[in-house]
Amino acid sequence: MNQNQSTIPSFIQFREGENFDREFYIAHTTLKRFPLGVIMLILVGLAAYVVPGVILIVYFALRKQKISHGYAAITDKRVIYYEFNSHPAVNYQHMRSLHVEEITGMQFRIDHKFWRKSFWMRLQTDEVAMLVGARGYLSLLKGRGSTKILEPGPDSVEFIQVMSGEVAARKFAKV
Amino acid sequence: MSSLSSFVKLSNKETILKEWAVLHDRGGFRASDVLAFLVLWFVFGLLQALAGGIIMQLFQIPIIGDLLRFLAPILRILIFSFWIPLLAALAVLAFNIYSRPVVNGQVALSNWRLLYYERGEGRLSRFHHAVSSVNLKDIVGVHSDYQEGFWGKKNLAITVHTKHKDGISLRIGHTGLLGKLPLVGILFRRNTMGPDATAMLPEAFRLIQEHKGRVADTSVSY
Repeated sequence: MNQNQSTIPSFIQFREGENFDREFYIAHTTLKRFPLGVIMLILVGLAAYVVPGVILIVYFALRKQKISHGYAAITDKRVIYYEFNSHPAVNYQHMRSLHVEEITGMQFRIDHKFWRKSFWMRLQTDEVAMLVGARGYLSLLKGRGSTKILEPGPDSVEFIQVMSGEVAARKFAKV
Repeated sequence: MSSLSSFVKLSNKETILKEWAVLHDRGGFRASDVLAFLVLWFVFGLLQALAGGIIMQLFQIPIIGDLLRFLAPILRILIFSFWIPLLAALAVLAFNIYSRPVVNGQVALSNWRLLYYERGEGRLSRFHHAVSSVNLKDIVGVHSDYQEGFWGKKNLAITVHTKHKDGISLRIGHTGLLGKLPLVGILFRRNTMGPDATAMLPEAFRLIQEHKGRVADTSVSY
């Protein structure tokens, strides 16, 4: 998918009367070719016997990375989150949306810690919540997040700056 | 300008009525860093042993082994030196402490919402941002629990309940898992209570009650 064009309008067709302003590239899975888990696997391979380790290094150096991308947008009616992975072995497209009118609470958390970066968002309505990302590995066990840890994308800080105020404004400041 | 509105872009119809600085985590060195250092030293020691095993195997491969013999003095230091894992652990820890952000947290009351906002911007691109908000008209109760224990241990828990499944929950003061250890826990305690932490609640109870349900004027348009 071409990253230069808007991603969400290329996937969903907005009806007339729903105004789409811009989208934010808020999250993605790790961009590292050799994350810590892979390094540990390679070290074990090297220690067991050198050849498996070398094969693992070559495999992880040359393979196409399985990176998921998450985009979010706010229209005058809805908050939309779109996540996709175009790798042939994964290849999924998730679309979630909540009506701005129904949102009762919002939580956003972005961390760039020493070991790990993470993006987590929860938009709550009376009935359902939109969960994006996980707050830590423990939250995955508790089932409190989505199924993967996401790293903050280039627009993530700007997104939470804009989003919190926009949702409230569109919910309360209407004619 | 309030510190919240310097970060969150609020609508010009939303005004901050009051703001309280409830969290101040000063970053820098913590006693738990000593534990982290010991763990890192142990892990780097294991990695050194692992690397030693791998290099010994490489020596047995014909051409690579011949090449490695030229590097034998350096490899000997790398594999057997006591200082390599120690210095590596110190370097990682120093980097961590140097880049750790000072985190400040504010509770803010606007004409529509109650917001909690944490912000920390450290060196070397490290940062932490968290924003939570609930609508004032949905708030059904605020629970607070303040404890002052032996040797000055202070804990403040605030939970804002709404009629939906959301809410805001804060824990400030001497929090953290290591601080709960008997006897030695005192070594790991650090106070994260902000200047307005205890002063906030009486005022917040009153203001939430006063402004609850005061949504925007119907003449307002977005």
